[in-house]
Amino acid sequence: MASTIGYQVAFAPFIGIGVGVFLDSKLGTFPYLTIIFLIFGIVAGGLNYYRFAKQQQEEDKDRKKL
Amino acid sequence: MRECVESETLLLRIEVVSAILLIVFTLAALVWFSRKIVLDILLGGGIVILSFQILKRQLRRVLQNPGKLPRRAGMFAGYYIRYVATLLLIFLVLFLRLATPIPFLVGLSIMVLSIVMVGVFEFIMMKKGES
Repeated sequence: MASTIGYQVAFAPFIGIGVGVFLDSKLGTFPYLTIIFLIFGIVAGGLNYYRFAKQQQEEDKDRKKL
Repeated sequence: MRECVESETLLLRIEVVSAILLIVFTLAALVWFSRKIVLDILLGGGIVILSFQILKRQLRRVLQNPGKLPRRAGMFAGYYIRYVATLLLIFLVLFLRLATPIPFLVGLSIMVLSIVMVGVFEFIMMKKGES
């Protein structure tokens, strides 16, 4: 679970860029949507980073309880 | 050192694969292209590897005390400062024309490539384990 979130941390900005480039190519708005979705991706990456740290802490606590 | 992150082995694998990719790309550029291209790949690779190491250190610090998560604002600040600094560095390199874009991007993609490769490898191993 935690490693899945870890991958989400790493890939969120790239997914944002991908969506932005795709929309820009469809709508002819390059580079505005790419930049906007890159920012969305970075923000999402930050949120995933927080979730990842929280998840790791909980797993660590559970492991100590056992 | 205590294993803070779920799997330090996974991180180690990513680091080893990224180092191998950097060496392979550098050697390939040395054989088929000029020395300038080699330097551009090394510059891109160096920036992402440095950024990854900082992220790893930040995460280690966060997970150092189990059950005690640092302040949310501090965690976000650390994460975003690292990100913005990396983007700024990439922007400056391209803006000041210190590197040729394509080989520089090849260098920058080393970390992503190694994460994908390790992820695919883990997935295959997981599927093999299930069957």
